[in-house]
Amino acid sequence: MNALPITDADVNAFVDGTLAPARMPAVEAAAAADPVLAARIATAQRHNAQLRDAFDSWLTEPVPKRLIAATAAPVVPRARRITPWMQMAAASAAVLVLGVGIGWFGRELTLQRAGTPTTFTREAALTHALYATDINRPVEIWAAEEARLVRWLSRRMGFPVRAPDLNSAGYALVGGRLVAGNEMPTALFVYETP
Amino acid sequence: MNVSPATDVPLPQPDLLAALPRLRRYARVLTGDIHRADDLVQETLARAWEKRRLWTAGTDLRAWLFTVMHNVFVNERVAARHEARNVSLDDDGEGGEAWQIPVRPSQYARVELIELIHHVGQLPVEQREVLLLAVVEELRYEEIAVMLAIPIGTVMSRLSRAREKLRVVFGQVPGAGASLRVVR
Repeated sequence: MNALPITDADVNAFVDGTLAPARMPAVEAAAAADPVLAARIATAQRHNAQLRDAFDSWLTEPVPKRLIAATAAPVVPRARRITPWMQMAAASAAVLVLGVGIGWFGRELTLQRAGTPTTFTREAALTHALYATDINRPVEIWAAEEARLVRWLSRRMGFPVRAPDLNSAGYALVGGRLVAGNEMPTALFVYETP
Repeated sequence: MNVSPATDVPLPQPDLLAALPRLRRYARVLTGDIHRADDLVQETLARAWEKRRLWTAGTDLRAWLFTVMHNVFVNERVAARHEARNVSLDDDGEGGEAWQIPVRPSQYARVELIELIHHVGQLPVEQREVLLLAVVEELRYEEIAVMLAIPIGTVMSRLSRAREKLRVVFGQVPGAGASLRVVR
């Protein structure tokens, strides 16, 4: 206490067992001479032991299943468990939106005025149900002839269309066809998972 | 179409499993809430897998996971504060998050331990975090400083303040009241 003042850092390191060995005698001597310091160290040591006891009691609790599952490498969503029908419906729905993007709002209003009970997603689903489930001929033009497909669809729809690249999402283009929308031709692109 | 690089080393799942109880404990100390704690663990694991290239195989996975968890927690906290910026903030003072971890009284848990956990819960999160890492996880101050990206002096001053508060509210030693000089 007199020569080298014992700091909080010394006390911390002492009770946590990380004090440099060279410094140990100084702390011990100071504690021997100073009951307040000695009590302080004793309290911290007691608290350390109690903290370990208290918080170690949590370690034995059963771990929830979802956390155990989360330790496994995450599976890149390939939608394998979803049926092909659902996948293709989702993919073709998404693409129909793109294909008919232009003029869409006007058409929606027209349809609503005419009382046609349809929505775009419904239309996409119906179109899908009709074609994509036909394993032999889901599309008119296959992806191998993508350039031809796109040229044809663009000409028929009156604006440039292209098949969105969904490879990064795990969908490969199967092909496409022209389908009848409610008022105007609509492009259908079909995708599948590998 | 599959663009996964060949150099992608997976995290060792047995080590992840082994670390789970400690991750949950750290998460509880951070969040003060059992359910939020498990959410934090789950987010931490997801983040760890995402960032697995930042972990050097062969080094201490637990310490790295702690770092990831700390960062996930801090980022969420910043986001939450940003969202609630119209509410007056208690700027890193006492509390902030209420401690809502019930300790089931069992024949094993002594009353004073339940009380101690409660008192730790009253400390600011920065202090109880350091207390857990230093005392319970027995990490070196330098490791904690790196983990939390703070100076080592800050680690020690947080630890001192945590100890001082516990000393005052819990397990007073008669006659002990004098304060030691705080460095830094």
